[in-house]
Amino acid sequence: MTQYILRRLLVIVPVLLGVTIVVFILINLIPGDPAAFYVSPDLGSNPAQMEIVRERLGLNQPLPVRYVKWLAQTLTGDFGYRTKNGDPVGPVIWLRLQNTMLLAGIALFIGASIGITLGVFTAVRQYSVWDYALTAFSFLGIAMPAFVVGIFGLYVFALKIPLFPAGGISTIGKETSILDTLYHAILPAALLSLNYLASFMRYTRFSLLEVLKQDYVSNARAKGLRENRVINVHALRNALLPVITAIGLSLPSLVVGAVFMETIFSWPGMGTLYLDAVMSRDYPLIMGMNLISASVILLTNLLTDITYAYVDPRIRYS
Amino acid sequence: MKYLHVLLAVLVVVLVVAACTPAPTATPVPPTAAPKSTEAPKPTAVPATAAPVATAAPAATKAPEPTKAPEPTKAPAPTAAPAASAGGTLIGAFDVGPAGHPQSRPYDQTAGQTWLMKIWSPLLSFNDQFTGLVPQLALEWKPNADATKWTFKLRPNVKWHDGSAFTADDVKFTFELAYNPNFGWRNEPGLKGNLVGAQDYIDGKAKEITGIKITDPLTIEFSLMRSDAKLPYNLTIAYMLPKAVLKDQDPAKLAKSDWFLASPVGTGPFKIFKYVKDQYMDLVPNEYYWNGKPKLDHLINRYLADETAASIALEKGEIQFTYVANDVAARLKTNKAFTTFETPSYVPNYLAFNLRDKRLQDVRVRQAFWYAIDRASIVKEIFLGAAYVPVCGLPDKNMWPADANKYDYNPAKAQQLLKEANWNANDTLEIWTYYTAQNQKDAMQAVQQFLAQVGVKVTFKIMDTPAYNAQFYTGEGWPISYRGITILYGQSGRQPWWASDQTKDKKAWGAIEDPKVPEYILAAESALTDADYIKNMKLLCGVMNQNAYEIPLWVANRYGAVSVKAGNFLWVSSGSSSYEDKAQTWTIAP
Repeated sequence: MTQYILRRLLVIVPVLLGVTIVVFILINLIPGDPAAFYVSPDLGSNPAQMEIVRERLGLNQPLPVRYVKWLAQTLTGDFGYRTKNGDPVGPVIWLRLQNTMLLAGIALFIGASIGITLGVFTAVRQYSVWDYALTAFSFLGIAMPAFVVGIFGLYVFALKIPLFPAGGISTIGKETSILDTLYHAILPAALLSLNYLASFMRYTRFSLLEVLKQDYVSNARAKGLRENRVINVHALRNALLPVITAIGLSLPSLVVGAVFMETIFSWPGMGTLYLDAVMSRDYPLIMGMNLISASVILLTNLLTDITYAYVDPRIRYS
Repeated sequence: MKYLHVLLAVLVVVLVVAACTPAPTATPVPPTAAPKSTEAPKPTAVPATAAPVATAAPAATKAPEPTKAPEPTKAPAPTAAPAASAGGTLIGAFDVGPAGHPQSRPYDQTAGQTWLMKIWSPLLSFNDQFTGLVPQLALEWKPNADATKWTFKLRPNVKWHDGSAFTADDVKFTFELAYNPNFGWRNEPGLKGNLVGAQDYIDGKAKEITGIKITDPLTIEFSLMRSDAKLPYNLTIAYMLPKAVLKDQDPAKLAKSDWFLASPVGTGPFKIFKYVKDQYMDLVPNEYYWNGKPKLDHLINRYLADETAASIALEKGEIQFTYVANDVAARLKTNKAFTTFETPSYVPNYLAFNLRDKRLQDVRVRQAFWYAIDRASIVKEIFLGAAYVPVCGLPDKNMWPADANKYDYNPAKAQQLLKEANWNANDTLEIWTYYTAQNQKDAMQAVQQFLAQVGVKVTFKIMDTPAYNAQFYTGEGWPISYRGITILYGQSGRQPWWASDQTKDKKAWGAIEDPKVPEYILAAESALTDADYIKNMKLLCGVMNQNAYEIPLWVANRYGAVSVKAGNFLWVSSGSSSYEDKAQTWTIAP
């Protein structure tokens, strides 16, 4: 297993390198000059002046040279500075990353815990009223776009039933505290979790129904085990593999962020930062965020594979 | 099991009831009568024409003479002060939008004047009715006989937030910093092309701008290459910066520095108390403010990324002011807890023709497009009447000639003109735009359908702003563009209509090559009286109208809403100019 993990980690390096090269080329192919953001359209219209700015930003160098310089700088842990406002990229990403991980982490936790529970609940009650009702709910949860859920949730739970604040991450004028932050996070996280919840419920229900038809489950029942034990110990563990895959695929959202929900709730996270970076052609920030996102996606894929082995002892990596 | 059924049923009932119940008014009506909603200004009214010498001092004997100012704009009145109170915290969403954040970089943006005026001050600004200029840091200003030299007398005893004195040194420093290419004045008001020595300074050939001369600590002169009787109007967004604090800073680093956000030192009515990145900017009164210490204890700009979320925060009482969409404004007008403001945006949306495209060089084709689009219906149905239809790209009706063609909707005439011009019905034209708002998309779709009805096929190409800017200003690649621009009183439309140093061929954006256009622009720029300026702008408007060099579609209104708890509060859509809102008198009821 250790060898397998090391091998996978080594594979990540060239993949990351490839991702950064592709992203670097793509963002430089997009029309729009970052220098135009740094200089007044009027003052900068003088080509000589624009050249000064391009030189200062390093934009006058050939693409390969710029990439190698960026890579060398990044390997030292320095992601450079934002073109838009001069903020250091690393700390900006770290600040937003914490916010996004909190929001998406709560959402994922709610989605996974309730989704799996309801999945089991509906699977063991197949074709019951509950099964139909919750299946309809899950379809709604999957189909409803985040911006609809977000606005509706904000309208109902912030305005009509004023239980939660209408956005933001902390109360103005109060010292920042974890309780205050959680208070602000709970509504957007709950709404964000709806999609996770619905998906995980569907995966669990489907997978558990398949497993419940297996001979070893019948055997467990024939042994006289209580139904709870048959479901929770014998069936569920084996039914969780597809769910783990789904959760693993959702983990990158902890880093990538949720653009719509973050925008609606003015939550300063990675989603809105990424949007801002692309809109303002902020190359250093786009590169930094892509590197972080790609790393996390690759690592979570590895983590998912490792988890398989722990959940299903039949799986062995060599 | 039964319990779960009941719980689910209760949850559904609660949600349905909640969605149907009126919002709790977090802003109860104070004992005093709620102020009436402000009346929408009439489309005819626009920023206005005060005399070029809008000062306390009389003009020199042969100086440009003021003319009678046209009818003033009927701008929203400030909210009535609720139960007399001082202190308190007023929270507003002064910078709403996905790319926004509490803004405070006065030379690096094209919007946000409402908030900027709280921290920084220009030499002068528009008054709150947009009928003329009022002194801010300059007490009076006057031109020489031919308006090639302007002398500004500064207000004495003005102090920066840190208590140091504001002098003419700061004014010169500000202009030289703003014109430093490494610093960059993004919304430069068109002064550099006329200010003596500015281009040499920008090109690095001179260490200072020779056209700015300090006569004494409270007097400064601007020397121009050609007459400009409207110079003061162009200085309403020139916010002063403190030389003593910034003189040793590298302009390149300063341009994007957090100094402007976290520790700005201005001369405005409020000074920084706390800045929380991506969340809010908290200001407290500037005890040195020349017009009296503000009454509020705190004025906070809370950043909200979404307009709907901002409206909900307003209705919930978490904030007391925000910009709102027209439908929200209509709803809030009936809610006694809020006062709404409705003002023209002063930004005409128009279809810019690129005359480099041979298909658009025939005036009959351009006129046919104009006749084909039922602008009045679009304003009525899509903008819900909250816009007006101009006859040229100037939003000010005072600059419209009486005999201008209104191009009322006439599809038959459009078809006839297209036939005469041998328009090829198989041609498809692309219309480039950067607008993404839903009502703008609806308007684009309507334009597309109106043109299709007369046999003109157009497709819209919606781009993000950087991509659009990178291509549009070269003058190449686009046949038509749906965009917006504001040309306020004192400006002349030089870049869009005459010549631009941004296009590859140095022609105007749309390559208009009518000799009358530069003639009238030059005449307007050097006009010594308001009457002369307006006369030439009318002639310019007439030429643009007659030749349909562009199709001015509509000038939409903008809306704001404020809690009635806020007293003396005033907001006007500024059209990228500063105006006096007397924020030092604002109050908030408990």
